[in-house]
Amino acid sequence: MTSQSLTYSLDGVNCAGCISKIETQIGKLQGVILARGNASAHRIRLVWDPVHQNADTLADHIRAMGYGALPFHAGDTAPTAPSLLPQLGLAGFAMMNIMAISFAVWAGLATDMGPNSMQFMHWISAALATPVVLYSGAVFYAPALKALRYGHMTMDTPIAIAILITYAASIFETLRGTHHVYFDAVTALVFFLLIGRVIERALKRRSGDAAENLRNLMQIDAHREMPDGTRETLPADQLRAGDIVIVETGERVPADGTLLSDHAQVDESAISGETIPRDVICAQAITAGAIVFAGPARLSVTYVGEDAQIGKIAQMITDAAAHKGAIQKHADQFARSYIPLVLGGGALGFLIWYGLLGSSFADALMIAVAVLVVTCPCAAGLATPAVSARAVNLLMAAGVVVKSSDALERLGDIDVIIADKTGTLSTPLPSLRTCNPDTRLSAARLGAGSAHPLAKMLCEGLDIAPQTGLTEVPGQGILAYDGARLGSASFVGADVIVDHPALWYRATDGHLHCFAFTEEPRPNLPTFLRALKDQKLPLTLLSGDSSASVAAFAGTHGITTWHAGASPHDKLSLLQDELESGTKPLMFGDGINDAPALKAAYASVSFASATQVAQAAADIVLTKPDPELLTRALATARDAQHLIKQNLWFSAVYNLVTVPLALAGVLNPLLAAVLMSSSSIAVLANGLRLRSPQ
Amino acid sequence: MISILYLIPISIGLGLCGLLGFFWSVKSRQYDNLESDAMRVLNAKDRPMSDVECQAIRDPTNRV
Repeated sequence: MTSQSLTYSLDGVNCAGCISKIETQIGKLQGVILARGNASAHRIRLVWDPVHQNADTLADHIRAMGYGALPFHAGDTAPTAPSLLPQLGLAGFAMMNIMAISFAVWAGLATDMGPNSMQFMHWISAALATPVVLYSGAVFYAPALKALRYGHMTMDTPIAIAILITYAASIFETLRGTHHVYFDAVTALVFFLLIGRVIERALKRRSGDAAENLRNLMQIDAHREMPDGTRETLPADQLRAGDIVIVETGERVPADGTLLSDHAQVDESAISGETIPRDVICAQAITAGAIVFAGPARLSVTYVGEDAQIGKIAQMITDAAAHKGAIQKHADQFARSYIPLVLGGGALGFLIWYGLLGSSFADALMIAVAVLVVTCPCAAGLATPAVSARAVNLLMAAGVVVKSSDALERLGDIDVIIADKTGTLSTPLPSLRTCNPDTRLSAARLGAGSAHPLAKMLCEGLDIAPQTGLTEVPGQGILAYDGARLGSASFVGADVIVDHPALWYRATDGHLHCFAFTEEPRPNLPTFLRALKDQKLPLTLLSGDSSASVAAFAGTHGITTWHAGASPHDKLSLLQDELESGTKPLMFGDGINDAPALKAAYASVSFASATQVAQAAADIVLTKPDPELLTRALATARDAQHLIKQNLWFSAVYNLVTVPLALAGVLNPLLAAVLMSSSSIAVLANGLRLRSPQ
Repeated sequence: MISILYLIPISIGLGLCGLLGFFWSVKSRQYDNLESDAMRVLNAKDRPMSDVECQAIRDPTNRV
């Protein structure tokens, strides 16, 4: 019997319990041979008998249980780093055995252990330590050597030097038959440092899996329409911008594009979390990964693969996961300035004791090693990454993508929030009140091409294509070549104030018309505003809308400071003024008109469903348009910052105390290794105190 | 005292057996999917596995 198999990436799986439920249910189906899930990677592998099942029926069974399932193709993502568990296991085994032997040796020093027994113990320790130094320690030598080849020093450099010097000196002393032997210190050093590396890799792999699942949303087949009207099927990543693709009802949109058919309904829950299908009309954008709810949709491809919105989010997640940005920069900068000091300190210790104080070569070398080991920059180096790595991971799980860890630091510092109204604090699509259908039709011809929420609603359900020769003035309105205008009251020259969101239309003949809308707040807005009050963060509303509609919205929700009628430039200068006056403003917005302000702000937040320009400008992207997520992100960022400060203080105090002790010759390398490791563990453990943002 | 000459190597040898067992468990990827494996045990089918199922489980391509 030939069986078929496929891996699926799963959506909506939160814990091992969900996976286990799917495994059990699918496993019971006729013809299913194997169902094995991985709860941390959110994937399941199915093997089945093709007589009874096929890939689609099985995916439907999983979907019927309320989870999303997509065939998973392992992409060409970077190969995962091999596990460091064998190296860790070996180091742990050797460390414990050498410790046991060391206790016997120490007891023997005080009692009557003969020199031969002592020598025997030392040789056994040497035999145990050698594979640790050669195999487990290699984890540190390779990057240190690689950096050295480019003339750099990394955190691994003093570690590698300390391991090799201590080992070489211990072997030398064992050959000479003295008791200055520190195999226990070497293995303990390697073991504790490896623990940190293992944790780091596990975190990285987990976030890498999440990004790969997101990319998987794009790896589907597309139906391309050829110029002669025929269709061909090809993998989505072979599409080019400008291609015309047809997406049938129930199929996934293969690339970002603009709709060519008159109307389609798309479910964008995979991208924005919004479960209500969105109506899309001709010339509006559809993002890759959305499912066509009512179609078919014929669209012109704008962005493919990595350039598509979903590809960018996946990239952000990868970046955040790898903590490329600032963590790496911090660590490297720190290494560049700190490591020469460490090496210099070690050399100084050796010279003082050997040259000035006249101690033996071996004693002076051990003092130098103790300085190297005790100042091993782990605690100070881990102080920030230990906390931010955890914070970034916790936030990612909660649906907040932090683009860089310095964004996280800045988020914890902010003292005032400036928020856009439409699409940010209110839903992007307010509902249009009743109006004259004929005027609406002619105004909609101007609005059909615009991404502005009011223009979108104006055109909703209308079977029209945008007029040609339109110019969009960001934040103000649309100008047609024949003089007709659609936009804010000031843009069309109306001198009227209304207390609701409104779109003004001036026809070619100069006749003015006002389209009135009812604005809906985001579902969790009251909770968000209450949380800001609790955290004592003032909120300023900064909107491009008319002052009447902003005042009405602000009044309803108890927001006291607001600015209306702000152009993109006004928003930018308000942010710059805030910065100049010494405050640290957070900009929260979603539109193209917010992008300059987002870029200028001390920290900035946008949504995954916001315009791509806004997302690119923002530091932090919320995967769901829920302002409450920002409250959680703020709380987490503040907690993280508190812990980072604690860690930095701790490592500063630790070095101030231990370095003089090591230079004075009070510490031997073993004690130094124990102190160094316990300081690293203290810093890591302090980082783990960070709680999930609830 | 002469007993330690062989007792210590024996104890280390026993420890080495454990270490080799650990290497084997890492190599057979038993640490890759700790959460799901822990749950799976609770929902195991109450019957012996068929040959096809055994084969599918042993196939390294079926690991996720």
